[in-house]
Amino acid sequence: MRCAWLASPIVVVTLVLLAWPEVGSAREQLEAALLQPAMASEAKGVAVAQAAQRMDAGYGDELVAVRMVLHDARGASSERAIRIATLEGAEEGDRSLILFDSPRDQRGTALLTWNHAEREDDQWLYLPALRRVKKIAARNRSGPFAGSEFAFEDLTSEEISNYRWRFVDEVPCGERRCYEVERIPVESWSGYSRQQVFYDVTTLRIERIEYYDRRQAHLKTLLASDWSLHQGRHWRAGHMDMRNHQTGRRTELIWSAHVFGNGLGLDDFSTAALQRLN
Amino acid sequence: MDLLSVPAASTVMRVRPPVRVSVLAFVAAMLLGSGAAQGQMVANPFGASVGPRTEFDASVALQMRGFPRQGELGQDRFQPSVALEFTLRRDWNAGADSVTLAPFYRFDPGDDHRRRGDLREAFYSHLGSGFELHAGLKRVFWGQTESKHLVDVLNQVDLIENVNEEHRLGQPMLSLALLRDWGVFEAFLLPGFRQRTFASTDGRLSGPFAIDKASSGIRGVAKGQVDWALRYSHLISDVELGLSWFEGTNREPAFAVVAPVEPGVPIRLQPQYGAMSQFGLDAALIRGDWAFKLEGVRRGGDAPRHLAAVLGIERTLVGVVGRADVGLLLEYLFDDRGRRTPLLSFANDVFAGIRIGFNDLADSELLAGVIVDHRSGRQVWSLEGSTRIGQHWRLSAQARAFVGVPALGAGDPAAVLEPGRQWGALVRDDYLELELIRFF
Repeated sequence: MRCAWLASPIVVVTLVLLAWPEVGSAREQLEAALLQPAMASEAKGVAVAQAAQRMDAGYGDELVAVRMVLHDARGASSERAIRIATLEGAEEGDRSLILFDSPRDQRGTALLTWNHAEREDDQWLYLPALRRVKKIAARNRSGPFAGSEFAFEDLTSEEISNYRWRFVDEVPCGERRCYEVERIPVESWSGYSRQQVFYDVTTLRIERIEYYDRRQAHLKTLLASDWSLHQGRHWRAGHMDMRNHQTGRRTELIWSAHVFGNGLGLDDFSTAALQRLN
Repeated sequence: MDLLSVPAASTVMRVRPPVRVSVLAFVAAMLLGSGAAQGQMVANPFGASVGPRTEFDASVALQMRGFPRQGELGQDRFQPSVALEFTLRRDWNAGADSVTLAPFYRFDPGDDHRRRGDLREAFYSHLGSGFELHAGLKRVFWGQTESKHLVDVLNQVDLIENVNEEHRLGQPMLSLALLRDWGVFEAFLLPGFRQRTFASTDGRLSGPFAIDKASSGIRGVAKGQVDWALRYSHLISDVELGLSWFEGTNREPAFAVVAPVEPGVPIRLQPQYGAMSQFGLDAALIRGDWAFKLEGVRRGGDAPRHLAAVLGIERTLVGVVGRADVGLLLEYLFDDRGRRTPLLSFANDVFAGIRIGFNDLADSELLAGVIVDHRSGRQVWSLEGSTRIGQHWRLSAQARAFVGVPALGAGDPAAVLEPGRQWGALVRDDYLELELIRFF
């Protein structure tokens, strides 16, 4: 019909007009805030984190395939293939499902996580051989994820309230310019004393994170690259490289097949859903 | 590990009146009631965007069991075998409908009971909006604790595969699950009954016993009675809670001595599967590094009414021992039948264990533990470990030792009727099992 034909460009333009100023304003507001000399560096740190969060808000849900390549200090390597589904939380935190496709002896193993801003996360593991769903301690999140250099806490979306923030400076990072922000985990179980996070000044995506262990020694560095833009506003890294400076180990994550807007709901992130992934 | 329960052997089987509640009508009512379901649901978040899929998995396992001593009935010290397992799964309607087939075959030259094929699973599933329907041969797990699975009673234990009771046979079932904000409610109709598997007198871990197949003494089978079960589970605040009711045939047999007991001859036992009504409760609470677990059952039916429970705590240590994460487990096993509790059913025992995930390239893991009866001092030690070799192979090792009771042999048959001494039956069956699995 004629109205429908007319309506679609109008809807698109309206949506762009509605969404774009918001994205722009998040960055503009941040720039304005950072220019205020009186503003405390703690408040500036939170402002950067909030602006980055606002820039990426509204992704709804996301599916992605990840190839993990684990390298040990002697040069041996091992690969894993996983799939991740994430549901953006409204008032509650995000929810995620991780399904292992390989190695074959781990195939079908799956992990369900409910992030919470104000209390401990809930996490369940599905063991396909036993048909068993097991609730597990969130404490596992600070240990290596699937034998890699990533801890589970490095992979999940960060709630701002999980850290104390402090703005350091605007610094060069590679060929770009970044805001360097220090964040200190609030939770006692975290494996880190602090992290130095480098946000690209234009996109506010995280280019690099330096992790310091509980003894304040530099433990790991994460570098993100091979960026792609989704739905006009969601930046996703295609390649992540985590180096452990203390052990010489290294893990690469190769992200592909990002799909947004799959119509997923809370029901897809339940313990019942965990049992029917394969 | 309910290998035997001789004390109840003299129990006369009573046939229970047929179940008066029409379970079918109930299931139908629940199914109709689910018409008022909540919003749209994608059956499988990863399968939503693709068409029909067929997945095929296969594995071949070479197994060798070694025993430090000959068996009670003169069986060999080594028991090699090979097992094949396939899983074929096809789904359509974006994963809403699926069929799963899992045939299994083990060849064991030394034990003809382990020379057999089995359908581990063969079922159809429909995942609807707010409900799931499953029909066929299926395995379902209930429970929280590690050393003993009290609440988990739908599937028969495949004891011949492993005495750790973790292997189970597929149970014919029709099940309906309603997924609601207030929890998951499930109803099961369980037609058909499968007997527990036992080693033959040529195989190992049989003790001095020759266990017949039950030809009679299975409750209700002749009358065509159908077992049923209901379960409700939900995460309430921090507590993962499960409540269940089972009405049917006890998967755990009692035994009757069917031939005169003579020295030097295997003791012939016939398993008897009585009626059982079980109320079960399982719960888990996780606080920081600590997990608290509980399973409890109240059983009635042909056997004397009794209570049994397992109470457990687990402490998780991450970053304490290098890259490894370590779980320390402590569980208390209780059964109010006390000394009349069937062998390996643990009347008043403590389980202590340690689980280590090494977080290496090979996903190596280790579980070691011991169950101690603090009154008699008898112990079951176990060690299970595995590691991957390359991308497609996994090597696992398992050892078990039965310690602290005088041997009970075919030469001393009268002792089998003394509950405190039954553990002696397995004293010669300490073993080490190595398994190499190739995945395809």
